[in-house]
Amino acid sequence: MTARIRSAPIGIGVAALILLGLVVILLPDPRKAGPEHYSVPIQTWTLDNGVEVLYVHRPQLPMMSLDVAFDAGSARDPEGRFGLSTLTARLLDQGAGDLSADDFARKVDQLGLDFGASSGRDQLTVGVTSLTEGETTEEAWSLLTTVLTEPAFTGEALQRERRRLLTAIQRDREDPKTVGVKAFYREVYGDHPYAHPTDGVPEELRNVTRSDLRGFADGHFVGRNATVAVVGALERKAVEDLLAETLGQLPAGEAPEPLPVVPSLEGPKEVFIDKEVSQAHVLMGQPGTTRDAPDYFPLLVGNYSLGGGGFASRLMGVVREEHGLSYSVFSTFAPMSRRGPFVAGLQTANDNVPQALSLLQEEVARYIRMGPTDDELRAAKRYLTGSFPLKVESNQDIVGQLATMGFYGLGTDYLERYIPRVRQVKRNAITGAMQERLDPQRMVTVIVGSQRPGDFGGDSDDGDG
Amino acid sequence: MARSLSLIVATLALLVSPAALAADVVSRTLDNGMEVFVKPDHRAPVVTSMVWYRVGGIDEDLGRTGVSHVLEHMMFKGTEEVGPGEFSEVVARHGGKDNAFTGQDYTAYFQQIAADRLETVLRLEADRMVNLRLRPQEFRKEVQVVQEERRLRVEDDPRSLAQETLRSVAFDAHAYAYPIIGWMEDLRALELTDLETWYGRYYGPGNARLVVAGDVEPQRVFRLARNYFGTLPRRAEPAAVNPNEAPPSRGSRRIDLEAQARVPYLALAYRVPNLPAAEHDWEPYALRLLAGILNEGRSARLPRQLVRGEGLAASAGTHYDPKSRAPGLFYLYGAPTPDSGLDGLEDALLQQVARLREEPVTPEELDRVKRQIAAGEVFQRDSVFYQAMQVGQLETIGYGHEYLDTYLERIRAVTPEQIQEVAERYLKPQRRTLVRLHPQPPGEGDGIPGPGSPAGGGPHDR
Repeated sequence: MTARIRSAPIGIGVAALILLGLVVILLPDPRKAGPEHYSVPIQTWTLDNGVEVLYVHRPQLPMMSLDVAFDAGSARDPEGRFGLSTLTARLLDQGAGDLSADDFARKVDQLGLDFGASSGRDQLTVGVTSLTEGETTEEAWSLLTTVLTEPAFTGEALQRERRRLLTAIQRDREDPKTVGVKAFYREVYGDHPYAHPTDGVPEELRNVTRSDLRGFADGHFVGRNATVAVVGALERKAVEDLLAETLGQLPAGEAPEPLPVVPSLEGPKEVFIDKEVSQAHVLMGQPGTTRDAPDYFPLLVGNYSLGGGGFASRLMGVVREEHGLSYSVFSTFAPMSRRGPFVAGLQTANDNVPQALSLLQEEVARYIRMGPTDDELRAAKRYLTGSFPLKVESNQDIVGQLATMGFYGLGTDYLERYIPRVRQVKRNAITGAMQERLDPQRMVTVIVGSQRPGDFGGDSDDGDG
Repeated sequence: MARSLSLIVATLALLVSPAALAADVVSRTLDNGMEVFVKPDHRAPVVTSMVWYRVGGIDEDLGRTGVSHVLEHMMFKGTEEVGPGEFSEVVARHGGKDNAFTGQDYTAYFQQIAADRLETVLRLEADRMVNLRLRPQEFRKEVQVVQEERRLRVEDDPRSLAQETLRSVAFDAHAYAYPIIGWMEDLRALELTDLETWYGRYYGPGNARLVVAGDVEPQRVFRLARNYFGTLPRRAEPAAVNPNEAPPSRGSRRIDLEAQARVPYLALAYRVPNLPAAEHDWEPYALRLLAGILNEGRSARLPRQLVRGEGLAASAGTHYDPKSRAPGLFYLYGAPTPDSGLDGLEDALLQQVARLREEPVTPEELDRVKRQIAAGEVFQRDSVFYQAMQVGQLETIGYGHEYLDTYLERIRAVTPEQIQEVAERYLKPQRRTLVRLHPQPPGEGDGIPGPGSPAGGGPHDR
């Protein structure tokens, strides 16, 4: 029944709203204008302590979703404490304020909350989804704030979660894909903070103390280092008041200094990891681009035809459809605060590695040289513009987009400009960006498998050891 | 924090009960027997469109396991008019995503696309429902791709192997014992004629349902469905070939599996009824809540007692899905800590089960699980895909989407005594299969299990 309510399109009132200090994206009636003109009206404001808020009102379901992102990912792990960010995230549901771990668990479950915290290389994100029934959302955000300002970090919880994390890391060594990805980052990033795995390394996790955790939380969970994305049924005024009383109470603090720039690779690197698997995993790539770079869109559009577009991509066409060599084959740019990697990869039976790898290398090199055909470019643009509404379909989708926009400073008109920016991409912008970012002569190539291809790299690495 | 926010309560005019959210599915049956279901959700101008066929692992025979899934792959290889791969190209050209999945009970194809492009995908789906061209060359390549998929998902993943083994032992003489993706030997032996037989028997309007969720008006969907699917010739509906129920379980079984794992793992499963097979119709709901008592949220018994309390498990969980064509399994699983080892974890999990048989759960913990399930039902409706998925699954297995209308009521009605009763009746040793995964360091002995090893539960994407 509520599903039939459609949020009213905002048209004429926009100028007035902008005067009121709201940033609003124009929303023509989607029914008349078609999906490509669908957009979501975003409102933004800043709390007194510096927390940046991005909010979208979606009244149809009686729920609120909130994500708070801190510049506190594993790239912020101190020397000698790789894994501190992840361990901090994993301890956030283990007691806070006057709540023990069991009290906290009971409270979250009684309220029916979906609560979670996790770390990536750039961000540590804490999220909570709540019903709007009664004071559920009020309690949820209040609890979230306690977690951030008064985490318990008990010795017992530290011992337990560290041990569980060590077990998870141990288990990752079963998975040839994860083994490959970890080696790939290590080779591509060398001494850069992006090099180590987000889960950390066992030797250093063993050294983490409660005061390391407290220091990390105190230093990073501060207003000027926080972006909050909120979507759901509560009206702006209620959200504003509630946020001021909850996340508005974080100390203002300071954002950390920017991360160091990622150096380019000096030359090619080949790494073979011997593992008894029935299928080898192959990864190839190098540092790519940043999330806020001007060439983000040319690379996005360009990569679609290379290996980002699933069955519509060249890599899938050649490696899977023509030769039946792999179930999945892809390429992607994973842009981050600093240059995130470009990576192309596949899995194939051990015997087929030489053939599959050379197909992968040839296709990637040719694409960097020649770029897409006119037809491919048209297809990429049609897909990326036409599929835009799918990126902002659910409340959860929108929360994710808002958090990314806020965290990487993409501008509050990012969603509104997405389609025009895709449309503007020219063929020569793609080849230019590809050639500037990627050099086939300086790729890192990682193979995890049971047979080293005859002529493949001197660098052996016993990732299993 | 101050509790001055009564205005939040004032904004709750839009609050609806979860049950009401489930209510607005509209349906029609076309002249040729095909059923059409529409679930409007106008939040964004997109739709998820799905065609569900009632065919999956449960319909397969030993020697031909995996045929449903290979056929699913071949459905992307073209018809008389549409070339190999063209289906997905057309969908992508319109900004859509498409894929398919095969389960034990069904095979389903879906597209997520702008609402005004719905007609295009319906035309293409109707075409491949009856005009598929099974080309030998495409088949040879694709069956190789599926073997790679099996290596990826099962052979090189010790826990998948353990789960596959568990199922193959637990079900005795029933098709649920076979992996959906197929045994490697069967995939190697599969022939094009097997696929032709499968397609001829199961693909047709009488064995299919269309589900569309999203920004659509039901009448428009019905009109389009009549135009494209309604004109297809009716075919005889396939009779069920395999017995629906496995023979009764005759005593507990244990498997000790050695594989190239780094971390030990344990999974056990009890043969339990689905809705039609239950002695009382509240039983599946009681089993669902029982699973929640053990594992719903952070305060449930497994995380509280085994992970946090006694430190006997690094991780632990349960799984039970009452929605299936035949009676299935109630799972418990976990990884031990270095202190507990497999023996310690096994004891602890079996003690948890024994306790459920011996004493009723507390009203407080039961209430907490019910609240979580109710909240989860609302959260899941945030996904248009999930809404279509739910309707398609329920209709295909024969429960009907009306199951959703009473689901939460039935959940709320379950008592502590009923939970104890299902534990006594179904969670007993005669119905149990247990598998222990013992890590074997690389290079020692024959660590790689042969391709005759068993298969995982979840649906397989293309």
